[in-house]
Amino acid sequence: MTRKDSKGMDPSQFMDAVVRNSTRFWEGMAGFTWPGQESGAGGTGSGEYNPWEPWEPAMDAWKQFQESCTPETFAGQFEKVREEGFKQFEKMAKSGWENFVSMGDGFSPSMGWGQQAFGMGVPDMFSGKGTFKEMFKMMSGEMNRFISIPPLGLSRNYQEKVVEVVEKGNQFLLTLGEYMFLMFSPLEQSMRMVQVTIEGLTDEQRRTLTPESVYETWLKELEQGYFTLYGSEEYLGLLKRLVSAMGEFNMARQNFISDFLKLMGVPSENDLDDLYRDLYSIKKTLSSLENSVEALTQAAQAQQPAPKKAAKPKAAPKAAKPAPKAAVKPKEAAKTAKAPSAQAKPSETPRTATPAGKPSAPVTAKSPDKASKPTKPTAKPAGKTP
Amino acid sequence: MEGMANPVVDAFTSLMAYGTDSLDRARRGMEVFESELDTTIADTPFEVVFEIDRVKLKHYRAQTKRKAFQRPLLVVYALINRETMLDLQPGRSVLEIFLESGLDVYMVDWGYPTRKDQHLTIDDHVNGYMDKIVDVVLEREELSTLNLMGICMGGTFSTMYAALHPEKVNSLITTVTPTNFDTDAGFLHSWMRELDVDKLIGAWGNMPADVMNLGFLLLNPARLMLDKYNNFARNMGDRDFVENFVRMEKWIFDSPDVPGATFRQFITDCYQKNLLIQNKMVLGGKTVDLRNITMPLLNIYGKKDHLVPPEACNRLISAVGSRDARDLCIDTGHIGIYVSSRSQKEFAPEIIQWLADRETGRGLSAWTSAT
Repeated sequence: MTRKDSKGMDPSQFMDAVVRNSTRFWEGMAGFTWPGQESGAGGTGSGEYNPWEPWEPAMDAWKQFQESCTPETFAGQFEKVREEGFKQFEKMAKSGWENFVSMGDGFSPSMGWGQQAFGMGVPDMFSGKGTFKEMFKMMSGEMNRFISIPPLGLSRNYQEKVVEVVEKGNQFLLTLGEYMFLMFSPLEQSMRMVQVTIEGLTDEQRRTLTPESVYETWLKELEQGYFTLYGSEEYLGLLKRLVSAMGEFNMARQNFISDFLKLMGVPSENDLDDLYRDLYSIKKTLSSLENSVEALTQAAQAQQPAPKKAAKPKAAPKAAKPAPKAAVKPKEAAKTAKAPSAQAKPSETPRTATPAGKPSAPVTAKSPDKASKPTKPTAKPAGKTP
Repeated sequence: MEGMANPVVDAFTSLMAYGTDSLDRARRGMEVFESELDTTIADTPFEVVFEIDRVKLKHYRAQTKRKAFQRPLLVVYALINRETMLDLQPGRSVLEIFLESGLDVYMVDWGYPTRKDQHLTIDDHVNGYMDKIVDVVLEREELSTLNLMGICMGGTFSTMYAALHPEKVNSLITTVTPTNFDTDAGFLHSWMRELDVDKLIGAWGNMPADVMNLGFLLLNPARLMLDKYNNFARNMGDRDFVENFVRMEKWIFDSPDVPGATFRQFITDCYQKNLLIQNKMVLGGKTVDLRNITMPLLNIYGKKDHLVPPEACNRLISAVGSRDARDLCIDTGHIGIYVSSRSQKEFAPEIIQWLADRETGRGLSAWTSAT
């Protein structure tokens, strides 16, 4: 192939040329020998060493490409790409602008823009809620286009989780923003009310005002404002949404972190939670079995004939049938004789169960501030999970 | 013109005076902060007599020559915040009054639940931990019954326990205890009804203490987040005030998480379905029937309580089976009932007298002469 041949070639011919020249290049490289070595396939045959010989096909290919890059060949293609790109950009910008305008339309009346700042009376506490509706609308309209691109390929699962974190995070932040806005409403309202109150005072009354009295008036207004807000359906609905959004975001984040930790071979909280669940059920089962064994033992002891024991009242079986009156321990009996209880308790039955947990060795602590705030159990628990 | 007030000058003078005063307060405050402050809480000595998982049983010995009461008092605190509130400082301690009156006190320390404890239910707390603890106390004291006192959520647990195990409870004292959750009197109740507790617990495992604390602060942000600290700034030159303030802050923000399953059940069964007062609550397969509470009952609550309003407490005595049941409404709030100086003279002495009356069956005068 000559240099002249390459001019005006179409892309498929160009690719053929590239492949051919690549093959020549690698053949040349395979036959390459250093000076002094025996001449192989890469040699000139004349015995004269030419270090550039293996590179020639590559250089040829580059020249062919360079020559094919004429304005005539590529101008049309570049023009198409430019036009298409501009169209797409224009489309995106238009869509964004339209949303921005519609959001602005929603904002203005909802924010109370253009209204007098003070002395306008009590504004509607929820006047700003339209703003966040607009933001949610924009979010679902614009951002979701990017978020909802279907994840593909090997990392599909991971992409899905990242997208979920982003989506839930955005929803949480927006809801939090809405909540914060609402929480600031009583603050703004109380300030306005104080302003209105002061404006309504005579000069003489104003002179008697102190910072403390203004503060007290403002605080009462603020407190009342929050009470009004908390009693509203809007607040309750928003609180519910906020808690849900917070929970969903946290769960999505947890799943994402869990995947990441899995890649690193580190157990995640989800793995530990599974273990905790298993441990809990095992402990419950164990405890229930222990109780059954204890009950059976007591029942067996109660069924044993004990003629000798019957003669000794003190050694009566512990798990005897419930007596109609409360069983009284020796110490209690002595005291009861002195001071009988005012309350008859017909429902009392003897206490037969014994604690499964063992009493621990007495530990005197002077201050729980210093001594009894364990962050991690230091001693092995003496008891068992109930 | 002489003799006529100038409003601008007046305002400026007033502002200057206020500024000077503030600077002076700040200077005195800095002096207080730089000195060594005593902010220790819960200083009364105790013995840990039993431990099970994260839960401890503390024993406080009566500070009289001999016990004035035959039965000890087992105090069950809520899972929210810590029992140290009953013993903030000498002179401001319910516990101190109990001990000085000759009453032996056992107190449940629920500890700090971790993620490991997220599956523990109310049944595990009431029929598990509480029952074991009661058995330990009875075994130690060689008794068959004891006096039980519950605080807030701990009071609800104690009510459930007394209904399920009446044979082990001599008398029951419930303080600021919610038992009727179907009320709009407190914002907490309406908020909890709307809460999607599954999402919350699904996300965190346990109910995070910080989220709960934030919720409590939001109940009255004007007072609890603004005025409270403004008041602190105004009084920071007063050493006693600062020490007491820091003690309260220490207690308020020393909050354990609440085990997830317990929180979920408490919200759904109590706040959302109000099962307890209707005798429909089921724990460990058994229905909690309040009519089984036949022992004497003293139900104390605060008139100004915004967390557990009187409406949430005052249906209990008509729901129980006891003929010796009475309400005591104190003119204070949820925390003030235990820590305010006025309440110190009313709350704890009232409990002592009530217990003494039931101990001897002869009233306080007879009890006093006997001890």
